[in-house]
Amino acid sequence: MIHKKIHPRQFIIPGSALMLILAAVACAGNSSAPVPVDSGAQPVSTQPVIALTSQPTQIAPSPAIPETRRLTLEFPSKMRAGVEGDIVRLTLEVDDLGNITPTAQIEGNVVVGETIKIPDLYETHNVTAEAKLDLAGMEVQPSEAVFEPLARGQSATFYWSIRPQDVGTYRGTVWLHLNFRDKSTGEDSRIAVSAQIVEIEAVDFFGLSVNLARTSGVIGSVIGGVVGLPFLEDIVKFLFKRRRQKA
Amino acid sequence: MIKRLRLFIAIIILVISISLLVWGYLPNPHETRIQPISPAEMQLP
Repeated sequence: MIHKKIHPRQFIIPGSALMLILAAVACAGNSSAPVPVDSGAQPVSTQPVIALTSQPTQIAPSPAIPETRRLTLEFPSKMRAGVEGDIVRLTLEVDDLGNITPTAQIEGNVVVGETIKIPDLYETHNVTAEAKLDLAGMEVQPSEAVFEPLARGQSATFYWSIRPQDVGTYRGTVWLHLNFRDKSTGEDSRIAVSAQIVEIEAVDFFGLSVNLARTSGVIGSVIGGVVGLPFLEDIVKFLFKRRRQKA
Repeated sequence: MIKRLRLFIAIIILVISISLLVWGYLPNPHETRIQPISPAEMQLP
């Protein structure tokens, strides 16, 4: 029986190979897992994001005026310069035909959306409509902003008297804001609803002002009547003569 | 001849005067704009 002496050197090569294999396996296992770069930072993972986006978002609607309204602006597009004045009218009225239920039509199938319950602003706030007419170069009354309380189902109407002194084109803006005052806290907030640009042309009659044109018209009619009066008898006779001929 | 001239002048004066009166008293042309405002436009800021 031959006994070979086992030398420790004989274990170096297999041992090194085994360690290399173990190290390779360990590295392969670590590479699949996310490696945090910074220990303080949150681990980045796509899984929770997918879970969040897949859930339906439910945002509470902010309070609003539960009415569809119609804003009507009426103004003279052309007017006489001088002493002549006119009216600009802005009306914020309730639109009875307004449909606030969202409706969609896809390939002939009508899909009616769910009516969203919007908190009523009238119950929580005092609503005031504020209107202003900015018209450069023209006399506007009232020149300041006009306020009118807005109640449920009621209209608000604003009037301005305008008077152009000179001939030309005047441009301006009709503003409409809504002011809200919280009934409980008294907090004020304001939103711009509409800003409409208006253009008004002031004209005269070949250089004649309105008053001069009217006075000249009256005087001229009198003079023309006096000058033509002697022919009135002839005109009446002529008309009667034609009438008799027809009869 | 004078009679015809006088008639012509009278007609001219009357036409001009009536034109001035019509222009002076005719109502101004008005423009109306209608803008619907939905509840979403009247929300709190």
